[in-house]
Amino acid sequence: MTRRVLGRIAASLVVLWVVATGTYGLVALAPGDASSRIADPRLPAAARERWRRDFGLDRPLPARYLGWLAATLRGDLDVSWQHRRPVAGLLAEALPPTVLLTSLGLLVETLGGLAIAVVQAMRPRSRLDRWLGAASLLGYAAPPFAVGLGLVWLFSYALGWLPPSHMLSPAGQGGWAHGRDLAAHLVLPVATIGLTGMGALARYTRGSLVEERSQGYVLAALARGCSRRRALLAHALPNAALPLVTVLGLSLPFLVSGSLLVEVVFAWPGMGQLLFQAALARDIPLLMAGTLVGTAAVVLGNVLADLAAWWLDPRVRP
Amino acid sequence: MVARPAGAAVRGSAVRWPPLARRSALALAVVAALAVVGPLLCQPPDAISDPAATALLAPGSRRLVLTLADGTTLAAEQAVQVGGDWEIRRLGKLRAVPGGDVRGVESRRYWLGTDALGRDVLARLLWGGRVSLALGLLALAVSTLLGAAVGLAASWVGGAVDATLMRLADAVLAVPMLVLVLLLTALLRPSLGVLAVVIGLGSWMGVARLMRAQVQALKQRDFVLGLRAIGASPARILLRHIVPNTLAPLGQDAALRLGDLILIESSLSFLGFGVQPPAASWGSLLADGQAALGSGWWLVVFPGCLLAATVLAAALLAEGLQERLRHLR
Repeated sequence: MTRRVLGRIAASLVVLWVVATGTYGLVALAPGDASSRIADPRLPAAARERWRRDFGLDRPLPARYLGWLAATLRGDLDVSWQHRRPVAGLLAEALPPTVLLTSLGLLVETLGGLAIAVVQAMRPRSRLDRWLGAASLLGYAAPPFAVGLGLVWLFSYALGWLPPSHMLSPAGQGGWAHGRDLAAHLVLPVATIGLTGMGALARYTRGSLVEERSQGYVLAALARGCSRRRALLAHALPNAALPLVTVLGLSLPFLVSGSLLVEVVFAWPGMGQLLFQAALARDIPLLMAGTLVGTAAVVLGNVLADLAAWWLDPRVRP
Repeated sequence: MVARPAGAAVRGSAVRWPPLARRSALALAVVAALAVVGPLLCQPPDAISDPAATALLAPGSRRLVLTLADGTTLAAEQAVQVGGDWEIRRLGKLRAVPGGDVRGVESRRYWLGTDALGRDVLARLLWGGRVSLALGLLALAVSTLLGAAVGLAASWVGGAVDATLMRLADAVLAVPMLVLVLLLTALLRPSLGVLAVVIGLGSWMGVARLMRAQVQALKQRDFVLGLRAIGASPARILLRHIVPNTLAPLGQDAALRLGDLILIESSLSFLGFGVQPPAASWGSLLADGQAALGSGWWLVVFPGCLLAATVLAAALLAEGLQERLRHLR
């Protein structure tokens, strides 16, 4: 078991290394180097050469690559061209808002998806089941930014209940008012992530719930005098929800991409917003670091999902 | 003649399409037909007449457009001919236009309203649909061909090539798609064609895995053994007998991904990295809608619904295909 866990972690480190190398390779192979992207184009040739030497661009590619890899391993992620500040510091500032937003979004998505699936599986093929099925398909198909814009139009412009963007109101508040302000700003982005994510989850869980319902152990529970609701919630649901851990782990890349769009729609000051601005400014060091951090989050999530699945379900243990 | 695995049904079987899949296929066909034919039926959205008087009209509004002798146009809420001259109401104000100046009067209905620059939303939707669908299909072709080639190479050569290609697929799969595409667009600043390639480069991994699994399963089947025994060359077995048998699952997977790729293209265009103005796709229409959200709901609702409906139809069609394939087995 320990060997398998270590093997799994080693495999994910290999994935990270491949992504880091691939990213570096892409940037190195793209037309033009840093001197043509950030140095003033009117710079005389001699000055440009000196500039390239100062930034180490005259060294051969393998030497530059190894130097970059060593620096990245030390946590030195280079300096952002756009902000003229170390990338690591920028990322560290943007991480907490994103973690707050995505974890709440994931929570809403999971709970909502499970609730819809349970309601559907209580009476499969009923009218309610079909309607909820159609609604979850719609949630799966709707683009997150369109859903976000729709919610902003309804709740911020038409009804005026909730703030349309940003994380906090400009006027600083302390104590409880601060928390209330943050919560009000969180509602719409979290709802957007939750609504667009719960559809796929509900469809998946409904399928496995309906399958579990026909298993012998559910019949045994019913024969023992268990109510239908209890048989479904206490017996079938835990078994049906087990593969969900893996599904959630696999859906992480979409969560990162989706929350990027949501952050842009709601001007949320997180990683997605930072990377979006970096792409606008062609800030390559920041984008490279963002790619690595996003990948690391996905890889870490997948490892945790695998470990959780092994811990929860002895049958899938290696 | 293609060797078929035992149990596979022959063409023209009696298995019916699920009704939902039929309807979504129909809906997709309608959207595609609108995108192809629609732009021919309406004026290009950039032909704006009198932007000040046609900006942000609600859906269903009607305007009278007067073409003047000097070629400029005037849009009016009302126009009456008094004697030889025209009396028009423009932006709520009455104004007289000498009859000699007016070359033509035309009544125009904006069924889905206009945007902040006075462009007809319906026309923009139709023209934008062309771009969205074309880019989605192009990206689909790129990712399917690339993925199929990688999967085929991995499963047929095997060994180190297989391991390397599949680790590569794992690695690319772990990078959040939108982040990868943002990095690529920042490096390349792509044109429309390159944009499709960039999206394809970020989405071939699933196809490669599917293709590899299919070929490996088919390689074990008896009909391959039989072909070997009668002396068919490996290339012939692969191209004439194995590849045709992978087309059905590959097609179903492609249908499922079409919606995703249209979504990715529209996400990029929404962020401003895709189609550049004045060209538009559904994604960039939504970005325009965000800018004018307080003043016109129709700028968000129509492109959003059309985009969601298209993606939904593609997903339902894929599901129908899946069900049908399962029945055929």
